[in-house]
Amino acid sequence: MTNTPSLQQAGNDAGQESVIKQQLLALQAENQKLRKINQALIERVEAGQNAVHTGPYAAFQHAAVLAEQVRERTAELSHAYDELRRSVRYSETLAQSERWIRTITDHVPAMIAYLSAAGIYLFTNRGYDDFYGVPNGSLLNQTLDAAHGPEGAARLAPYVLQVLSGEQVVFEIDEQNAGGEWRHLLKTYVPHRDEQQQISGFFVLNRDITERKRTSEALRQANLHLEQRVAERTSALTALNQQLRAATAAAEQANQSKSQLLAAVSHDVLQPLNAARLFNGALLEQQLDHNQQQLALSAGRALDDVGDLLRTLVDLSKLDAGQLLPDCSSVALGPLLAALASEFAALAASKGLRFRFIATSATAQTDPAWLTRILRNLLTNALRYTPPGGAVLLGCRRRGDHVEIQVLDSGVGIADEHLELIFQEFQRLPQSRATEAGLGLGLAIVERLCRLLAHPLRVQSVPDRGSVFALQLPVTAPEPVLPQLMLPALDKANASIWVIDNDATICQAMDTLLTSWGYQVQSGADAAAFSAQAKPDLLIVDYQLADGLLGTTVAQQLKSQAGFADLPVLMITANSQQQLAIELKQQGYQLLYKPVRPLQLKSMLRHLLLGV
Amino acid sequence: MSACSDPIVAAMSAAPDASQAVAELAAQLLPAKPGFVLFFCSAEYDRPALEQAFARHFAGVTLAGCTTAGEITPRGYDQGTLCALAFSASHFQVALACIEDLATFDLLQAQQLVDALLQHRLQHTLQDPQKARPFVLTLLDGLSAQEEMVLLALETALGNIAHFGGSAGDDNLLSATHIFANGRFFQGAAAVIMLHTTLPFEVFSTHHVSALTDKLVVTAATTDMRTVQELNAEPAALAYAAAIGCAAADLNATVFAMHPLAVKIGKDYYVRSIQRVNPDGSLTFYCAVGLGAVLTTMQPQPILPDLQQRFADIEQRIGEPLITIGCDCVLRRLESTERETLTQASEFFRAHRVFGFNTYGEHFQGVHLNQTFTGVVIAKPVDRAP
Repeated sequence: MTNTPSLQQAGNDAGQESVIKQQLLALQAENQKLRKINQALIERVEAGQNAVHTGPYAAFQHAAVLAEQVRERTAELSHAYDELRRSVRYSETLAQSERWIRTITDHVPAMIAYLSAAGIYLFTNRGYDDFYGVPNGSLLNQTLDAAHGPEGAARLAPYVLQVLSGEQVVFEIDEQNAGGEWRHLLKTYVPHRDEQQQISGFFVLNRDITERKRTSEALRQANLHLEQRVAERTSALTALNQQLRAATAAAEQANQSKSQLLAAVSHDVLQPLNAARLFNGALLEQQLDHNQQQLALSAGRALDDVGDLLRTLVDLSKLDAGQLLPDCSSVALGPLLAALASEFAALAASKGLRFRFIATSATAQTDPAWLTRILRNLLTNALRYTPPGGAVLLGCRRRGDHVEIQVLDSGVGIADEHLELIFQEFQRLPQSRATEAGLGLGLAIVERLCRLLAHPLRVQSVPDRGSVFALQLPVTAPEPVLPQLMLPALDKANASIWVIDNDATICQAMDTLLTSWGYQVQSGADAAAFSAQAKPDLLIVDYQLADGLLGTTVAQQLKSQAGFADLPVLMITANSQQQLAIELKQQGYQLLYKPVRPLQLKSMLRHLLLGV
Repeated sequence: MSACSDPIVAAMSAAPDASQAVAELAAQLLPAKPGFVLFFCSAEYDRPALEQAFARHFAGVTLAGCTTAGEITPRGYDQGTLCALAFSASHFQVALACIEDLATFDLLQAQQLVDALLQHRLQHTLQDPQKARPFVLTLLDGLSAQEEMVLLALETALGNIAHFGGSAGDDNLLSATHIFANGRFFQGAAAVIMLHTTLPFEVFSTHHVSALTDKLVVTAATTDMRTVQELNAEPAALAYAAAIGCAAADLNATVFAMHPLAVKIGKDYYVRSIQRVNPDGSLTFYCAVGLGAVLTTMQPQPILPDLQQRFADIEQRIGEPLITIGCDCVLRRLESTERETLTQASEFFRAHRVFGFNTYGEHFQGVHLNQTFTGVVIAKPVDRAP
């Protein structure tokens, strides 16, 4: 309408006017376009607000808007559906895993629970519910009071505070279970932190350790008891040990006393006894009337018994101490037994007993001296325990590679229950007490000798019928038997004998005895003091002289004199140690043990002087 | 034998002779005893010959189809062929309605039509009808310029029923497109096909364009004729050419494909494709463009990555795809040709068993679209009984 320009100054500046005009026209055109665009837009906007069916483009717009709304709605729905599906799936998964957890936790032999920070149960397993006797799951959304009661909850409160402060709590507490029974629980509270590290609750793990506790208490008691028993036993053992020590000490003491006694016997008792016997021997050589003769003989026998007894005692102790060992060789039993038989036949006759001997040609591995002693003991016993009118037999019997030497009697016999006792020292059977004196050492020494010789000893006995003592010896090849001569009467006299002993009494006794036997005797403590210094036919010297001087030293000195080298020496000693005997034999000395019996001495002298 | 149990069987014939082509289709499809056959035929075919051949070979089978601007066959992008899909009655309950006069189609008719389609469904043949869900396929005369009005009316009547479709083409001749229904070809008509199926499916539409900055306001237009005389109060062709940096003389279909314009409604851009440049410098569109519409210059992105992504998403949702019916805008095909990605696209279609045609416009939820790929993905049965 007003867009037609009025050209008032056309004639002024045609060129400038033309440019301005063109610019104006362009602006006007631009303006026109903008107006048109504006109008179109206004129309479109208004059409958009109007009714639907105003034209295809409006229809398109409308449909597009609708479609977009539908799409949005669909997307929302779809999203919601997806969410729902996810959550369904998630909850299914959750439900599945919860079922698993429940299955597992319900079968775990422990009480498991979870409580929120506010102390509300959010989970309990079957074990937990069962302990407190509530229906499964009924504690959920309840407080601790529901399971423990206000009192119980109050007792737990400090621990709950502790766990909610972020600390794991382990404690033991007694609680009543559903049955009202007090149980000992080990409780563990573990704090549960959420992603922000806040404590959102805590896990509860309870274990019923009542049984364990009981067991450990029982164990502890048992241990205590055991300790007590050990202590008791220890103290008992200690006491016993002390007793034992005391007993040992006493035994040692006793042993020592015994040794001392034996030493005394050896050195102090045997010495005067020896003298007494020698004197008695000398007395019998005197011209005595019949009564005096009998008395002297009796005294001599008594002295012999005492001497035997002492020697036996010493031997026993030495056998026990292992100081004596047998010196075994092949021995012809015939002569040995015959000698004994002749000796005991006489004794038996004097007692009114029959004595029978069965000769043998056997040889056996044994120590003849020990064997003799054994048999002597056995025979002595047999004679002793057989009443007058009875019989005693000595005989041998071959049993394979053994020979059995038997001593039989028809004596009182021994009851079975006493068989063990008879071999012990100082044991005598009751019935024997009244009839015969004796110390009962005989069989004890027999038993020891047999043991050391390894000759099994057998005893058979019937009370009031008699006994058999039999010992077995290993048989050896027989050796040519030398005729054993009976000792001839001592007729060769005049031999010169030196007796060296520091004991003047012994010297005197020997002097008397040997002189009575017809020998030339010089005696004293020192040979240098003898009046005649010519070489004697025999030297008798005590092994233990005064001041530690040994008989061997003295003998050596004498033999070292010119012409004395072949001087025979008879050593007298109370020391019956095997070693000494061996040493002396090696040096060529003969040996006699104290107390020296005159008969023994006589036999020895005959052997040494006459070579018999 | 196994064809009997296939829910959908695809077939094609490249025979130029209509009778022979139909005979070949029949040979491939009839053994499956289909309840419904959907076909897309090249505009080159002699339509009366097709009508006779179909009548001869597919008696008793419901048929619907349209002419195309190119087919998507088992070979991929194709041309001059007859392509068809046979739907088994055991998996698909199909109802077909024909709108013979689009110009007079209104909401009332739409309502009646949808009622009839739904009514038809009651005579179901499905194995498990309770689990069946419907979708609607529309085939419309691509040169009728009636899409917006018809689709809006239909959409209103269909409510929540999923809907997609395409406008028939004529190989870019832009002279006549036809719809086949009830045994014959129509112009200015539409076929509305409602399918109920127990198979999983998803109806979708996708495009690959993003907005540039130039805005062109329609300042003069003949809306009914989809012709825009002026953009920004300038001759439309000139304004468009200037906006896209192209000489007005060089404007052609490929340029239109490569430089689309779109209007923004709500949050989305809707491509308004240019069909042609008129001698008077005006532009005719494939869809309605009204006065005052603000057109934004758009930039196409690569087509295939977008398609692949969409298919992947859908397959993830509904399972292994059985078949896809695709309505692919003719301009996309031009674009792929221009970009020389046609072979790859064909490969993609074959791999995903996509069948369909190139359209003069796509329909999605009652909206007339351009330059999109719109269709339905039908997946394999999930709970097939042993």
